[in-house]
Amino acid sequence: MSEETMPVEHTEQSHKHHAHAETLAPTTTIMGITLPMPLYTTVFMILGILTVTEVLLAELIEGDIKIPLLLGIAVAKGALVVMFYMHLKTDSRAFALAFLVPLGLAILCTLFLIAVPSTGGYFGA
Amino acid sequence: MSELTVQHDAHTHDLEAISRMSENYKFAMWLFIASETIIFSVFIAAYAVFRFQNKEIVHAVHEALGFGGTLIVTFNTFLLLTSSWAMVMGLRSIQLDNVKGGIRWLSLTALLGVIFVILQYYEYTQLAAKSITLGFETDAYEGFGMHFYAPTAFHGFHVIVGVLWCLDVIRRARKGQYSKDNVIGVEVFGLYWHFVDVVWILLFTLIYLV
Repeated sequence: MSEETMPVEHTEQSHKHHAHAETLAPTTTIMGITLPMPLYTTVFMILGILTVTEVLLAELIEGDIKIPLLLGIAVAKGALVVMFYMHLKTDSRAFALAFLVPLGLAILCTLFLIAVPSTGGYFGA
Repeated sequence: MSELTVQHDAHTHDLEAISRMSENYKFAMWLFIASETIIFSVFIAAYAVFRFQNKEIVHAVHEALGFGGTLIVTFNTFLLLTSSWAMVMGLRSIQLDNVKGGIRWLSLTALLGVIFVILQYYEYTQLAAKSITLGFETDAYEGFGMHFYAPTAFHGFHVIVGVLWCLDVIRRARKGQYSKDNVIGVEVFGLYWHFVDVVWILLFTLIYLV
């Protein structure tokens, strides 16, 4: 191992240890506020609140305006699970790349299918 | 070099090997998840196109199901979210050297997965009673059935596989194969289970709420 790479590995190692300590700690600190529950439970609570919000919005709001709102909340929930439960926030960036590149392509293809007149034509309607 | 130092070096070497192996397993799992993402995207794209071309039909289905139908699916969504939470809490317990606690959390994960599948089956029977079927000609809602059952049943199949995998992880944990220094089997299963959860989060919003 060269001397040049050593400090980088030390940084990554300490970053991983920090992430590990964060998930094992009995409390969670968000924006300076310490909550008396582990990080995983805090994320679960947020997911629960977002789900209830989604269902209420779907019932209360009429029309297409609710579509971007609901999809936005769903994406936020998915991102929370991927970042904190699947540890993509702290794990190797190679994992993130392996997941996000095909996901990005899939989203582009879906938008294309919805947009073109022969299959969807939604955006032009 | 003392015997103690040699033992310490060997232990460090073992931990490094486990760590390297863990990274490889996780990367393989992420590649598998990437391929699954593409498959589910096809189902989601097909449903999205149907939804935007047939607003009235989807609206009529939502009307037919009523708030009661949404309530059952919302409850099911909570089951899956809770099972994901139980999964990470199980991993955390094992990382804190509490394997028995980890087994209890993982058992809860499997149990919630089973209840999810049972409730989904119940929902399917309710939909079939309202003539929402797979066949285009028998379906009262002109093709909604196929676009609905394909993604949700494929997802349900993943939940069943996940429950079986979870039971295997529990069996291995009981045999003492996992410890605070070796949780890779639990972590890789967790990646799969959380992915199944993420897919449901999107399906729930797209199919039942939008």
